[in-house]
Amino acid sequence: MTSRLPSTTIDPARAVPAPDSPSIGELLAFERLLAELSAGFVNLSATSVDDAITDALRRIVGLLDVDRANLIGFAPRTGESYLTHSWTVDGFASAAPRSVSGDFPWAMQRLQAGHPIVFSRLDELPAEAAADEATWRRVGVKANLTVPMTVGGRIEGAIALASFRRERHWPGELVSRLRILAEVFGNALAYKRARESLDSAMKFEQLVSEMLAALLTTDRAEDRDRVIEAGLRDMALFLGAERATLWERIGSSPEFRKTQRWLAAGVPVPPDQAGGVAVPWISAQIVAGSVVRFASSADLPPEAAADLPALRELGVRSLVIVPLTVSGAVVRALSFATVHEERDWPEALLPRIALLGKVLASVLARDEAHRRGEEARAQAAHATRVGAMGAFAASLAHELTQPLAASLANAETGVRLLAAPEPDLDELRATLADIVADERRAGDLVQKLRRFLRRGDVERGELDLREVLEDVLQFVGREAEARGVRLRLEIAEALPKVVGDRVQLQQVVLNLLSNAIDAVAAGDRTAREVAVLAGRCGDGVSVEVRDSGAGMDGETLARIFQAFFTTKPKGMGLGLSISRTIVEAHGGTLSAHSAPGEGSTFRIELPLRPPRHTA
Amino acid sequence: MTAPADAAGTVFVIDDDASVRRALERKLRTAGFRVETFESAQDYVARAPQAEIACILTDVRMPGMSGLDLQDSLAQAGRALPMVFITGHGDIPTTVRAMKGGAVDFLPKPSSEREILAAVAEALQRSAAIERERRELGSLRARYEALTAREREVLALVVAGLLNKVIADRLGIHETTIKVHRGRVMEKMGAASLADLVRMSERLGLAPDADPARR
Repeated sequence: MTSRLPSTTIDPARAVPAPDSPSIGELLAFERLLAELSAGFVNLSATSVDDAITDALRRIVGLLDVDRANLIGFAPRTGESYLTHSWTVDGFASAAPRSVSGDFPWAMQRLQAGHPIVFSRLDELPAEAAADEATWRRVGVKANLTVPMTVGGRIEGAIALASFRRERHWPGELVSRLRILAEVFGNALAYKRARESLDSAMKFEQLVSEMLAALLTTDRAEDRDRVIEAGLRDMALFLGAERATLWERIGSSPEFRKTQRWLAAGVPVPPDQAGGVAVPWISAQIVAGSVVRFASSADLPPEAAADLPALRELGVRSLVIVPLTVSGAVVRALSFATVHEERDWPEALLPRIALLGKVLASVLARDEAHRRGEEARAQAAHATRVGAMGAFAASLAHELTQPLAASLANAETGVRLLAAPEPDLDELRATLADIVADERRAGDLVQKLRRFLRRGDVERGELDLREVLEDVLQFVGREAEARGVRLRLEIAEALPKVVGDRVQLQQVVLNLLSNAIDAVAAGDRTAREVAVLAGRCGDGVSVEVRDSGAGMDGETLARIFQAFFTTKPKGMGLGLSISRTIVEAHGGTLSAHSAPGEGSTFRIELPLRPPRHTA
Repeated sequence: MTAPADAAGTVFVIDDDASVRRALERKLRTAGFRVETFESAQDYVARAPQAEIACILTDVRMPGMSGLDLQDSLAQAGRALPMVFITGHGDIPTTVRAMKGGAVDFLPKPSSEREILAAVAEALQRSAAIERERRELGSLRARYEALTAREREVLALVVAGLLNKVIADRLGIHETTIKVHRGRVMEKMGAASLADLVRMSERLGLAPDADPARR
């Protein structure tokens, strides 16, 4: 008894049992299965290929009257064998996907060498197959036919048929038909693999473009770091890496240091390699623009011997690292590594990793350029701030001298009072209280000045406009008085707070006030007034600085906001240009109105909160 | 300490800074001076404080009228007092101008107590001296007012250094009468000697008239 035609697929009337050669009906059914398998796999998505394979195995079980059909795959490098798909008739436990190398050492070796495994009874197995035999016996297999499967010319797996219910003979015809079947499966798997790789390529490109989009809409440094780390995570998960690291080249040296990193769960944090990692050979390759990849450190050439200790220390088992270039220079590197097992990094992955690298490099370069621009702007702003303050140095010194002089006078008075036979304690108490108050006043001013003059990052906070304006008036008040200019501050009641950078906004007001004082100090003594008016304006606030100076003609007015335009003998011509930049960074506007003989008015309009992604 | 019983005068403190004003007021008051404070030079001018012996301790640089402006203005109004200037940033021209205007001292800000009290004491001493002078001049003037027209004529010629005989000749009266007038003048003026009388006439601002007959 060889095979019996299953009633479900073959017309029973035409089914003729034949011990050694298949019946016509059996042949036809088999041909149909082959045709369907070949055609059926073509238009399937990667996931439904799995279903189609399982379905095909089910039909084979039925058609060939066996109890189980398995699809086995061989891992490319390690040769590890995995049960990937299986179908078992009702009444027997089904087989779960798993590694089967350990269960069938002899069989897997023979299959990988291209030989089929055929036995009708377990005792046909040779002595060296003892381990395999034990497994079959345990599982309950009485007869087995397994043929190797070739995909794209390489043996990549096998199809196995098992009989649980009885021992059975496997005719030569059946073996050759199973071989054909295996070939069809192989093609289907090759197709599946191609589909998967296409899908994964699309998924990869999607990941890259999502990351790029996230980076392009992220301006704050900490957000950008977060996006990069998330991107590294997605890429590493996609590539099956356990560790993803972005490296930054240290100056123009051949050394790199870590800037961002992602580690898979359970992967130990590698020891910190301050000042770069000592992998001279890999570094040299990267600096030269080459990609380095190895599935095992044993694959590295002898020249890379010096790199091995550092790799060992970092726990790197396999690695792929690509250089990132900006304008032709290697400035960073991107690496993916495994630490638990050795792993092949197929050549096909390289273009993708390179693409990711390009995205990162260009975004980071853009970032760098942006940061440098910001730095330059901040430096110019600081320089003009210090310059503007210099003009008020004398009056500020006076402002500081007052409380200090009062303190000294009080302190000496206190000493004298104490020396009296019966010190006047009330007087002493009042004296000390005054000293405290004066020292505090001096300290406050110094703090305000320091805050104003420091070179620092933009710090946004809720600001009381009255405080901001009063501080500036304190800075310039003396100087204005000394030059016979009256300052008038008018602030509307219940002005809402604005969100902004105190120092920057004070710089703008100081600059406008300074210009206004210059403008009126030169003019008629009776009209020497500068007014600062703050009020509501739509949804925001406005601050006007009005002077009673000579005013400007249209030509001057048109140019005052240009950098390096100045009407002052010692001016740099940056004040108004920087002021406008600052106000605009707060989402506001700075405008000027003036006519000869009518003075000038500079008007700042600010929203209560600046929009995101500015400054 | 410098708190001098004899310098018991009033210090007029002018400073626009309330802390400084308070501190100076306390310092001088506890050192035994009478003190009045003013927040600006205009305030001082408006209140026109009176005191026989007094000095002004003022900041140079103040909003509105500066310390130097006040010095000029008081001098023009004939109300000058010894002034001590305090300044946080004294420059040479300012100092020179203040000293030419009769400033007693020009102190940096901050200054030590010793310097401030010494300067104030000196200013008050100067004020006391001026007061003494003023009183002396007043009494001298009164004595001069008490002379008859003829005695004043004689006085003028005597201090011009003319001999009695010449004077008698000039005035067309007898030499003996001149002697009587001269004795009267010496007595009324309280002059001990001719030199004394000359000094007095100088202080009274009487120009020595060597030739009054030529009028």
